[in-house]
Amino acid sequence: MREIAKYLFLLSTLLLGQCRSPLDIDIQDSKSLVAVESFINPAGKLYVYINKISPIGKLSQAIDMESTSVDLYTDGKVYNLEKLPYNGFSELTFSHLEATWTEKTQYELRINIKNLEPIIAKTNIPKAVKLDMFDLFEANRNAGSTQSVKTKVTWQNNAASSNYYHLIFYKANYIIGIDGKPVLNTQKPIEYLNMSEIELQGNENFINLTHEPGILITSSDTTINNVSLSCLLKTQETINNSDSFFQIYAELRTVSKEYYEFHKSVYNQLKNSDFLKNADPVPSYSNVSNAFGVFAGYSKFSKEKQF
Amino acid sequence: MALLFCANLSYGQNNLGANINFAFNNTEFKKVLQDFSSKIGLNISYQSDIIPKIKISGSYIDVPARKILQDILEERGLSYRVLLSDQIIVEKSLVKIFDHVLSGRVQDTSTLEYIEGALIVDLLTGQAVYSNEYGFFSIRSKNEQLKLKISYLGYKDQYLQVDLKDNKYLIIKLRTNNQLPEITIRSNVLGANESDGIFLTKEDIKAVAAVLGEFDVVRAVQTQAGVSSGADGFGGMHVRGGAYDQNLVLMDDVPLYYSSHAIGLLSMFNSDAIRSVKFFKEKIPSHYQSKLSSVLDVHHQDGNQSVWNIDGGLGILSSKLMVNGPIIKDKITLLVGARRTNLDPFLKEVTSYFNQLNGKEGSSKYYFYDVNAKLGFDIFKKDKFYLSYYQGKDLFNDNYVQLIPQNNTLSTIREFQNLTWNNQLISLRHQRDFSKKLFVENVLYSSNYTSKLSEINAIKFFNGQVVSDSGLLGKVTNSKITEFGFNSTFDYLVNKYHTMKFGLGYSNSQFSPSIFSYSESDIEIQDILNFPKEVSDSISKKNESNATETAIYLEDKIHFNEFTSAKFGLRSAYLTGKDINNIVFSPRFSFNVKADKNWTLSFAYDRLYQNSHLISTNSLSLPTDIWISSSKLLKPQTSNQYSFSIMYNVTEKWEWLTTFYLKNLEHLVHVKEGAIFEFNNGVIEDQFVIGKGKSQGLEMSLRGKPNRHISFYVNYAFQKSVRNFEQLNKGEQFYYKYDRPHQLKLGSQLNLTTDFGISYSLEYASGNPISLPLGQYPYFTIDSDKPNVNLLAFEEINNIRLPYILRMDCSVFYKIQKTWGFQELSFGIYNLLNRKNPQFVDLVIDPFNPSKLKYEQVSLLPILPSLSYRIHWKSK
Repeated sequence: MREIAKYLFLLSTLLLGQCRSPLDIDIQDSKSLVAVESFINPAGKLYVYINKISPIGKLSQAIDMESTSVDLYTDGKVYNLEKLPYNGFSELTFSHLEATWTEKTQYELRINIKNLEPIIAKTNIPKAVKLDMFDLFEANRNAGSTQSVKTKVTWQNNAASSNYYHLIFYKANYIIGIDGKPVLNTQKPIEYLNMSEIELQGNENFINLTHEPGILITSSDTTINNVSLSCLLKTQETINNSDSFFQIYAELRTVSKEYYEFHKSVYNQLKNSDFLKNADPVPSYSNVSNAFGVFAGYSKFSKEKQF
Repeated sequence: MALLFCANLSYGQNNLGANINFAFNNTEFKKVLQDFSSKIGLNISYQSDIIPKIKISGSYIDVPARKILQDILEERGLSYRVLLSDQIIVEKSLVKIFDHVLSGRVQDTSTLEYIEGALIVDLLTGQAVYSNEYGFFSIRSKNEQLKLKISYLGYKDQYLQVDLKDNKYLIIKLRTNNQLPEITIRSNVLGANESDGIFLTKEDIKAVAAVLGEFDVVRAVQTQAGVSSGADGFGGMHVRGGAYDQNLVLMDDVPLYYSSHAIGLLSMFNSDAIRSVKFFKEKIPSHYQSKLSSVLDVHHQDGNQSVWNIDGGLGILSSKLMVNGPIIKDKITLLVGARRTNLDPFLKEVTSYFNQLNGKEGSSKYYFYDVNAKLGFDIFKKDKFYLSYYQGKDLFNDNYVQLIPQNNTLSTIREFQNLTWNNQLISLRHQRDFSKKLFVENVLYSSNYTSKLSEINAIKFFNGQVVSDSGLLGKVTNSKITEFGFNSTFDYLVNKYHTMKFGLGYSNSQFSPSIFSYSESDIEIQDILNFPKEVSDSISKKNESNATETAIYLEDKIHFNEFTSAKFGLRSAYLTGKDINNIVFSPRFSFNVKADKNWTLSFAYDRLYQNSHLISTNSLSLPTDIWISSSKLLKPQTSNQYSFSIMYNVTEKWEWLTTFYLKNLEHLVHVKEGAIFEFNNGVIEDQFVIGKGKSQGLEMSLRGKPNRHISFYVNYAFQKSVRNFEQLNKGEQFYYKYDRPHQLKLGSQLNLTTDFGISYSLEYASGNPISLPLGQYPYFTIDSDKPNVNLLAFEEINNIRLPYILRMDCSVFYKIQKTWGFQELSFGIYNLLNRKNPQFVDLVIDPFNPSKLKYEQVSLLPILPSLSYRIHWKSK
């Protein structure tokens, strides 16, 4: 009897439960058919990744991308970017392997794809803000458990440059080589560290990113100069022996508004990933006209410490 | 000369003093005077513009001529004087015609409940009035004698001859009509002092098919043109494309902030305890606290003054019991009713079973209950007191633990969700008949609403013997409103053409919203198994705000003549909020013209305001939505609504109504794009943007009652509702999420006998717009050398319209009459067509192409049969 009752109510649950079926509507084509991702900074090469938007629930439209050209305009100069071989992930990759970039007010990226509207995006590279202090303390190096260390960094806010920052901690892994000297662990040379127990002083707002390492910071009060942050850094690495040691880097990126808004929107979009059920969707920020994606500038300053 | 004058005067008076026979039948007034003049041999002079162009009838046998002349003239506001020997001058009467006033109450003869909306017509003059929400009516007449007809649906018509010399206050008792229950047809009675708005009775509510055996007030209101639910089958009330918070929902004069159980399947109103329901979407009376879309005013029964009654019911979803009767007959009454879900043990079993199949331990839980209580004191002749109490609660809980054995260790995942919402309402009402013309109601009330959602996820993973990951993430969403207030409203009958309503009101609302998250790292297994523990909420204090409204209001209804009438209303309020205070004026105006006996045209204008905002981040009007008060940044919302209606009485049994409307809204609030919707740090107001809205449409209703067995309605609405925010959607206009261009509702009730009947309803509505991404694209993160995140490409807000909704419901009832009451069995089918109406859309991985995503629509309510049993017992 109990079994019958259970199955009766299973049936009722099935009746009451969700019914899923394909969505029977004609979804329009997107007006923008490509996405662009590019970050420009003085310390690295400029790469421009171009991908087709992959439509949901329907087939992609054909786009002729063979004759695509990408140019960068700054200071009255034009840099023609070179198309790189297909890397297996990005539809098109362009770069300028020789030029270096400086902290400037305006960079303009222009992409021309056959039969599409010109794609244009603008950004600037803000002046790098330097870290005044970077300390490590209360390290936890017990064998058999996750490693952690507390850290504190400070810097001077520079509203004239930018009010936005991306702070990242990572470590370079060394092991003791055969000759007894430390060598980079080629299997895992760099590991980005998780940040937790974050305390940020100076009327700042921060977002602990989930899709990227580090945290985004902005200040709502540009009159406040001193920024101080302390947190706990953790690594998945466990100590197997006493042969390895860590070299920890603190990288403070001074980022453009586009950079900040883009990462903030990605964070929100991923956080609200069940938006269709019970939350409004979050569009990812885009400063690219006639396309999705981002073109954003930043500069960085790093300090290192070893323990 | 003087003697001659006196003699002449005397001669004229002697003629008037003589007894004569004089009769006239349907004769022009002017002709009657001429004939009378010939009869008595005196000249009658007058100015022609004071003589009414009407036909009159009368018969006098052996009556003094003076009396006859007086009778003929006085009724028309005229008088006479004798001048010279043979001259009578007729002129306008300087003496005010004395108006007689009859007032009183209309009651149900068996329960002694006051009846709202009963029609009282004086058959001699054609004047008609409706009884107000407390059964009170007042009717003026120049005649001392009234011939009244009192009618109300479901009751037998009553005819009364009233002599106003003896009876100035009357209690009229109506007997229920043992004939068939009817759907309301509120026809436009000539000269009626009709109230605007839509009246629904218990029968109207029960004419709409039940869901899982439960009839529902809000579901009955949703059959009206221009009213929709947010998602198929679920409650919520969106009037002319407006938001949920723009409706003022009142339970016995107390505001309700969230009025649904089971996320909208049922409202908080126990349909067995309902006495009357009024619904306004235009011509909104100014004595109501202002909201932008509508007013739903629900009154529960006061309690039977003569006998005890017990009503019980058992259905698939819930059970209920109501007891009401006299503690002291005709003096003190008590009503207590309660409902509760039946599903708890079964839900636990079923969810536990499914969890076990997936390797989890735990179950889900859901229940709701509500309690209504009312104590009525009718011990004073002119004063009545009512103390009302309501408590309702919903709880949903989902809790499971998953243990994952891995290499001699046990990783643990724990998920916990707990959602509760509560309403508690208390009110003390006082009514007094000051005089035949003046009635007052005072209400003191308190309304408390809380909702809390706790979500916790905890994990402890091992890598061999070493803990590889351990942590807890929690999020709490709270919304709390505490309101208390006072209203004092006077009904005043100035004269038979003119009634007024005026008064003052005060409300004080405290809003305490909070959303915050918290985390712990390195937690122990025992902590995972033992939570939830209480987490202190320090955020709601930070975001607390207070809003007050002090208002005075005035309404004036004027019947200029039998063809035209108008209503003027003004609500003036002093509003305070968070760092804000201002004075608002909210005028309302309507004008009606009877073009002929079948056609009535009506124009209305309403300016409305609202001192609070509801922040909703979804399309389902969930109790997790956050209420906040107005502030300096988020000013009170306002709207201007214009409407034009044409009513046509096709025949005596059919009525057609068409309405055009246009509504402009300002100071609307929406969540910012990319807002971090947690209040850990910043100020709430920073998360929102301000904008405008517009709503316009056409509504058509056809209602008919071809014979006593069948009644029928068809309601259609065409509507467009848009929003415009500079900081959203690139500043371009977008469809509002409750925009439904086409809505068609039709239904019918067939009562074969008093004990057996069938009803059905059909609803078609365009799908509501939602925001869907049109594609996805890869993104490289810093720590990866290949794209490891897919981002969704959104172009516009609410760019896609979901498929249309189509649903048919039906129900059958069979009543078994007993000497002590009756038993009733109802069988119903919800969604008879078993159409998969979309609730929301989900993005899933395409099983045929795992690198791609596809859309799936999720429907929640398929075909649902239900059976319910109801019993009614009445003491002798």
